[in-house]
This record gives sequence, C-alpha cells and structure tokens, in this order.
Amino acid sequence: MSILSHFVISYYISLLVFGNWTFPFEVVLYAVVLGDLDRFRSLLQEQDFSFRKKLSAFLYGRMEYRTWWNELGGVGLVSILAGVLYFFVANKTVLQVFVLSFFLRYVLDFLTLKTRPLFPLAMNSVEMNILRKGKGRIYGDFFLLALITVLIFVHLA
Amino acid sequence: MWKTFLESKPIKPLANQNFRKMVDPLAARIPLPVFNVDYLTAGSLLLSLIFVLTVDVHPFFATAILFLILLLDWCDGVFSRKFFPEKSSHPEGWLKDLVADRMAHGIIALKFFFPFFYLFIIDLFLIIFSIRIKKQYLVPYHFVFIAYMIFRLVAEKS
Repeated sequence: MSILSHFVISYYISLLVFGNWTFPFEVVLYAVVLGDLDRFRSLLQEQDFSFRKKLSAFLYGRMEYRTWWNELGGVGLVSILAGVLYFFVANKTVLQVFVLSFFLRYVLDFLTLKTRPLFPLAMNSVEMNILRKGKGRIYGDFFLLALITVLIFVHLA
Repeated sequence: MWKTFLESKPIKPLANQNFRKMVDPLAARIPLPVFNVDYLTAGSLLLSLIFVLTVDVHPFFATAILFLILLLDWCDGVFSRKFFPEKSSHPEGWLKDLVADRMAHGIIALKFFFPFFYLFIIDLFLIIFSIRIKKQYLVPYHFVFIAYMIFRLVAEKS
C-alpha cells in the first residue's frame, strides 16, 4: 500500500482505539514515514527505472528494496524500544499510537504486497492473495484512501 | 549460515499430531466450496482490531471475538490441508500463519501494554529460537487473553 494509505488508515484506527485529541497526528506520520524509509532506496538505487516505475516502486514498494527494518525485524526492534521507553515517557498514549501505527503499516503491507517476513534470517517470500494485482490494487488503494479520509472527517466533525 | 531459504515445512508444530489426525478427516467431510484460506488468516487480523476497539465498551462481545480469532486460527490450517494438501509441506503457509498470529497478538497486547506487550516481545524472539531448534515454541497468547478477559468479566460482575 502507498505511504499515504498507511498514514490515513493508521490514523483512523488510532483515533478509534485511543479517542480524539489524545495524541497529535504527527505521531502517526512519523511512525509511517520512519517505517517506510527503505522505499527511498528504490528512488536512489535503480538508475534504469523510468519515472513511472520509480514512482510505483516508491508508492507501493518492491520486495527487493524491503530491508529487515520493514519486516518482522523492524517490528521486533520497535517493540523492544517501546518496551523500554514505556517506563520513561510521560504520555504513554503517544507511545502506544506510535507503535500501533508502525505495526499497522507492516500489517497492511503484509496483506497487500509480497514480503519476506523473516528476512534476513530466511529469504522466503509470502504474498497474501487478498487484493487484486496491478491496476486493480491501485484502484482499490485509492478507493480505500478516499473512504477512510471521509470517515476521518466524519469522525472528527 | 542464516541467510537461507526454508525449503520444506521447517518447524515441527507444537500442536498434538494425534488431535490433528482426528480432526482433519472430520473437516474433510464438511461440504464447502474451495475458497482462499488467506481470507481466514486476514480475518483473524481484522478481528484483533475489532477486539481492541470493543474491549472497553463491550467486554463480553470482545471475549466472544477472542474465541472467534482462536477458531479462525485453527480453521485456516485445517482448511488449507483440506483444499491444498500439496502445499501443506510448504513453508509459505507456515510463514503467513506465523506473521498473522504475531501481528494479531501485537495489536491486542498494545491496547493493554503492561505486561502483555512484554510477552509479545518474548513471542517474537521465540520465532528465532524455533527456527534454530526446528521445533515451534510460542506463548499461548489467545489463551492468556481469554483467561484475562474471563477474569475481568467475573471481577466486574462481582
């Protein structure tokens, strides 16, 4: 899924779970962008790609550019850090929202893209056959993005 | 040494094989059209979100959802062996199940955080341990939560 969809869906679910105005929306944004940092690799490394291919790789991710940070390894590291920080931060909701957004980003990728969950321990890839591939996935992504955005505005109104 | 493909089902499951041998023929008799078992796996993830959303408002309903997650978790293995027996020794199904379970646990644990989130971290590290010793070890998370929810419901009643 695209980074924008990650953000919108994570934000909406965090709103539903933790309630309005209990956390600033930037927390979700930081979690999502931090988690998807390795997508920038596709922009920098692949010189042969056309602009369209680069944009597609950046928005929807490609398995070859997914590092351990974008797989269960990243989930593990963030969990450990959150487990330690929990005793030191004053606003625990913010920490929970951050970790929930990081997790949801990974869950959405796991459900819609080809991933290597145990990378670098094992190279096996998995792909949940939930959504259509190609253009169907892009249209589905846009539809979901629009729907959740409307729901957020309705929720906050 | 680590950077390898898991070639066949890498881990000996912890579940009782005799129980599995008893249940699989029964499941094979259920007249169902072939469907994508991944929907069951994704369903357990979705239900874990619904659990987190409802646990404070309707704890009884949330407990029922936990049972449903447990049922889905069991059904995806049973139906994948029923519909796709050729894939049953493939590590892909094992990996899907593993990730979906762990993430469902993580989402549920986040809501309560202490001490459940620390069990989740232990559970994540048990994956590495399980691969090394070729036998699956895990924290029975759903059972822990079901016990916790029942305890909570009883405490609220009294």
